[in-house]
Amino acid sequence: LLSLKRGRVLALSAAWAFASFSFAAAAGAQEFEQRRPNEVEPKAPVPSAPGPQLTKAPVLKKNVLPVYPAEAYAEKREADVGLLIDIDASGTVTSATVAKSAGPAFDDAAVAAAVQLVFEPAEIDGKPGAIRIAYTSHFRLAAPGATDAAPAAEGASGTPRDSATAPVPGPDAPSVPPSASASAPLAGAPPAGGASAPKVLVQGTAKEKGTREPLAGADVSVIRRRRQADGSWKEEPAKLVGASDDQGAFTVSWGFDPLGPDEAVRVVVGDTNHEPCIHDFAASELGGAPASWECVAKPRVGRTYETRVRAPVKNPEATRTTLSLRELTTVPGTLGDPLRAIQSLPGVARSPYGLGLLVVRGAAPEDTGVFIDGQRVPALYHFLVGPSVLTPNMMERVDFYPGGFSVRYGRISGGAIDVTTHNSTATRLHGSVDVNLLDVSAYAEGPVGKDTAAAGAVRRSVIDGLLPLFVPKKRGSTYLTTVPIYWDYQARVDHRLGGGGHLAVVAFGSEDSLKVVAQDPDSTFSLENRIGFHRAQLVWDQPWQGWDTKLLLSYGYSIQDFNAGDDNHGLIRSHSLTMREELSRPLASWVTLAMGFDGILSFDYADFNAPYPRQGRTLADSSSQDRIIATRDLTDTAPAVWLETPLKLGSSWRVVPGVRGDHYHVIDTDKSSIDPRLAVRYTYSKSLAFKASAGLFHQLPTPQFLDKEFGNPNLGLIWADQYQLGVEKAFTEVIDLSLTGFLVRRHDLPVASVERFSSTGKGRSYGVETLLRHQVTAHFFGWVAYTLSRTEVTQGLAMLGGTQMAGMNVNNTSTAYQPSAYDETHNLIVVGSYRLASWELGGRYRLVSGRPETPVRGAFFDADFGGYTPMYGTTNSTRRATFSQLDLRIERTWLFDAWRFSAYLDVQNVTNAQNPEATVYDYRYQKSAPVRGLPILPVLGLKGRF
Amino acid sequence: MRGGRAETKGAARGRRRRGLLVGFSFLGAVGASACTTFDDPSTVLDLRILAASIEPSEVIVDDVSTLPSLRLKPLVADHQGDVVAPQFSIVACPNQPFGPAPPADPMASGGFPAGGARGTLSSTLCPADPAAPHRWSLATAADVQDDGSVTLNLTPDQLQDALMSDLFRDQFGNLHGGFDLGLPINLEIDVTRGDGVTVKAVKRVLFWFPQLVPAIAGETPNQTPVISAVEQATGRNDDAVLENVSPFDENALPTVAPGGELWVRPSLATQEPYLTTVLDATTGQVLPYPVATETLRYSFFATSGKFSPSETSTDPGRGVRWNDGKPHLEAKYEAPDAAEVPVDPATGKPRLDVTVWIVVRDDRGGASWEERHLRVGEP
Repeated sequence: LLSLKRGRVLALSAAWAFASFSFAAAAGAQEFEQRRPNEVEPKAPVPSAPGPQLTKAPVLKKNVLPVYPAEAYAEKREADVGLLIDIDASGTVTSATVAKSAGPAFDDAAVAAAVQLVFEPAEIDGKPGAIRIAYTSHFRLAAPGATDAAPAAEGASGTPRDSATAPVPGPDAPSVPPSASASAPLAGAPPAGGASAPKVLVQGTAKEKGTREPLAGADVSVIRRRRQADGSWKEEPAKLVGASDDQGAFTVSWGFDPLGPDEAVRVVVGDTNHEPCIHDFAASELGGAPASWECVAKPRVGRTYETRVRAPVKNPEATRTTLSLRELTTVPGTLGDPLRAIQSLPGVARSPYGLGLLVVRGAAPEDTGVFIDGQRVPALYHFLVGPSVLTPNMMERVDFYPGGFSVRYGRISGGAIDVTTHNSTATRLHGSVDVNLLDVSAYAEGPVGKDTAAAGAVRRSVIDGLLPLFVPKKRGSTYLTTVPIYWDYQARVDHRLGGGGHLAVVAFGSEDSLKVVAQDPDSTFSLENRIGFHRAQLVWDQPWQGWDTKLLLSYGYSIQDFNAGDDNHGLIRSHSLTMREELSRPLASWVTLAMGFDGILSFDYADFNAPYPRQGRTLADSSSQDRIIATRDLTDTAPAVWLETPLKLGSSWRVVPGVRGDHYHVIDTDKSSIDPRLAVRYTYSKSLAFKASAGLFHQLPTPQFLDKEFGNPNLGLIWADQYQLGVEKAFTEVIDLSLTGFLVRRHDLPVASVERFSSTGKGRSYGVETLLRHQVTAHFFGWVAYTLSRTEVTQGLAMLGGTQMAGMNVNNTSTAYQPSAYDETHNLIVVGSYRLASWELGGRYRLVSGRPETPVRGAFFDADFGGYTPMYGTTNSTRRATFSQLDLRIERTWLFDAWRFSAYLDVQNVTNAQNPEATVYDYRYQKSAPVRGLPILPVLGLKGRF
Repeated sequence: MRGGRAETKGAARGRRRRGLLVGFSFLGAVGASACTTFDDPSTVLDLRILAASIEPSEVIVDDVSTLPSLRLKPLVADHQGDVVAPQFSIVACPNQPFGPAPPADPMASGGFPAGGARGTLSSTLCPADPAAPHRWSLATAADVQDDGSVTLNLTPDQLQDALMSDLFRDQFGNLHGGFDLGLPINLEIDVTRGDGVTVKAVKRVLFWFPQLVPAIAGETPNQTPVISAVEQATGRNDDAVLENVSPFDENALPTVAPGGELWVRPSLATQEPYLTTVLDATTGQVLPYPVATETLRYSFFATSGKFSPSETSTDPGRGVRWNDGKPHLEAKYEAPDAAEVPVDPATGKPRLDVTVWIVVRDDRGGASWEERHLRVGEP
């Protein structure tokens, strides 16, 4: 008799897990792209007790990779194809049928590969037997995290990942009709007594618990049950009668003896990735119209059995780290913020106090560009320790380039972060709400029409409302603190066009301000500081006569507004129009032409009205200061063109030369640059590849530095020459290592001088970045990132980057290099997250060299202003204590039929380590004390998703 | 308005600035902090130079051959009061246009580095090497007179040397320096106490050349500000009016209970109008700049206890200006707690004699001070 005995299920699972391990050991070295074992796991839901028993799951012997459909690849479409694969007793695939279609091209590719698979046969009751397995092929354009694949064929590569099976032991098992959507009579078993016309007994739908996603291709089995005289049930062997269709619909037909009054039918629906749905129908329920039933299946942890097909990564020669959504949202210490997860990658310096500063390979934060769907945004993070300006739900992928990136990116000399928002393809309404101690956010997406879908998200901080509740009131107190008020939004409408085109309208924006929290309930102090940006853009992808074209038109509005008291005011406002056009076309099998235009037209307005010390040689106190009453109304332009010709030389070499030309007309000055770049990739084997790149990268100095009144319009462009050499090695299907050596030399950096600033500063960074990574699997992901580096700048810059604007020599033209304020010799980050059932526990540990600091070796009294001036030692010649911090995160998820609910606790600095972030001195620099970083900071959050 | 007390804009601004110092960050909310209490700058704990006066503090040079002598006097004190007959030496050097900008320079703190070129104040130490060029030893310990002052004489050659070394070009390429912005000469004072402890200070004297800056011709050189009187008061009400005001002259010895307070108010010294030159940031031209009202700053010191605030000013940004439209120059002396006051063996009661100094400074290097005494103990 069939029965659901959990102990047996677990035992079987353990055996199959062993089988999968064996496969992994054998196959790991064969496929660079191999990610998961290809073992076959019998699905738990329909274990049969007295009937035939599956004693060995089929194991893949010969893998054949599907070919990524060229048109779909060109159109950047991804898909999942559900298959039912019948395997005979010799291990040969006798048929592969589509249970969940993704269109003819994907279906055909998946089937064509599947029929060529060869398995070690399944064993039933110890003997080889036929079996049917459910199998999913995922076609993905790029693999999370990884280096690109060695393509199995032109334009595509296939990676068998895992397969799943719903074993139906017995000699008749393979005879299940392949239709994914049809109902089926009881198959195989001859009618016990005169057959009757099949009758539909049950009409049902299968959905996933928590998401209401339809279960396509789920197997439907029935068990005929008869009540015995002693009240127990006698059960016939399970019969597979069909599978659910794309919408999860299924029917159960009956072609046998009519059920007697003491009989019942048990219907079992499920697939590998879900716990079974089981329902017993009494004969009385099945006599009339078909009974209806909604199966809500609980997803199983460990949905790892599938095939992943990867197209080659674009620009594989680039040094890039891509994080998957799970990695982006569950790294401890980041409060689930995707872009903060980037700060745990090699090459990124630790940000003091948890601030959102991105110091990449020693470059100043403003040297690293952040792009959202190709459009640069002025800020990545909200104020202070706030989250990034984009909610996780809207993100599809984040690519982090520490350097050596394509000529597509310009106007930056450091690193680049490219955020791709989620291309909404929702077929029904989805949404989520996230509440934590910092903010509240909501997200929704759904279909708008046949080929159109929309998504939107909003977020608003709540800390400004919560903190005053906890600040003790004390009349007359001057205690003040400021908390951020932030909000952001994203909206996106996607429309599929004919001919493989795609049109997206995207809008996003963010605003930040500060709120003063005072102990004194009568406090009237106000501080207005607002920074915000808004973008609306249209993105049109369209294949056209062999060309791939992508047009981006964008309107942007940015504002910075500062008011302190009655007499300090500053405003910078900008309206900008951006146009990006990218064209690419293969000229031959070995060469592709790619080129583009990237232009910005910006209308900028600035207004300042603030006290300003006069530039004379008498002591100017504020009452005798001048005022800055400056207004700027400027039209700035920055057009650029770029050309890139990726060359594929043989099967191992990929060489990508490119050049970019930029012109700037900014603050009434004109500057130009030419950036040649070259990237090379050599694939030694499918598990080993080498990369190298070199190039020039130009950018504008901070615009204020160019102002004739506050800066120096004669400043040149900042530029850097970057070099890197790397190796990528896959040790197993899920563990890989990348090692990159880099050298960045920076030139013409603005240095404080009597001309206010001069382009005489230089800098350099060099080091090695190491990333040992365990890819995301069902239960675990993690990495060890270690960066050994040195960042140095010439003396005047070292002082400027530090805290010594006061006390510094100006016009310091010394070419001697000293450690930069951003220098971190060692930066070790260990991240791991383990998921078990509905729990997920993660940790992040960071061990980072202390930042350089300039010692104070004394002070002298300045009798004219009545204070002390420090006497500094050698710039940045000492270091603060080593930074060490452990963050933990735990999340528990509860599933309900139509939605899911999660609670998480993210605790930063669990051990309350007293990490020094700065040094403060007494009034005469005789005594000092460290400024400690963040203490232990627990944040509790709640998430609901439907 | 709050609690029946009216705040002027200046007062509110003062509060705001304090607030900004208290916690300009969400980080304050989550606890990042330096949990250290430093010594109060108004409490004189050991050897310090509290001020230095120079006469004249500004020199308009009509004739280089008749340079006036300079009389320099530092106020040197430690926790016991005046340091009698301190030994000090004076080294002079020209301004360093490419030298460091001190923390007091608002140009520096505002992110616009100036150094000694166009900074509003740029005193700095002179080169340590005695053989360094542009370094002149003007006085040694032997030159110190009984009253603690020393007379200095600069030579025309030294002044010319200073003039030639204090040159720089602005972002427009224009040449500037001591000839058009005024020529500061830095005086480095090294004071050594009997036990060998040494402290350093710098003081500046500014030279003008009417031949080069005609606008300055005829101007009256800076006059040293003087505190003509000091008052004491037992308290200050919510309307910022001092209560029980009485003279606090040199012979007075008010008594303050341990942990008690006493308000001390210096008189307002003369705020001179004056003419200076400034560098126009948009054109690079040097322009005459008249200042209608000179800013005065008052610093308070005590050998025990502390003053709050430790500095007041006619500038609302530094002092407290109330709705009566007047700057409030007074500061509150806070006596040490009883546990810190020694017991007089003769009376068995706590008693501590405290020396108080009030220093006044103006915009152009003028400085003077008054010394008073009070007693902490039972009235």
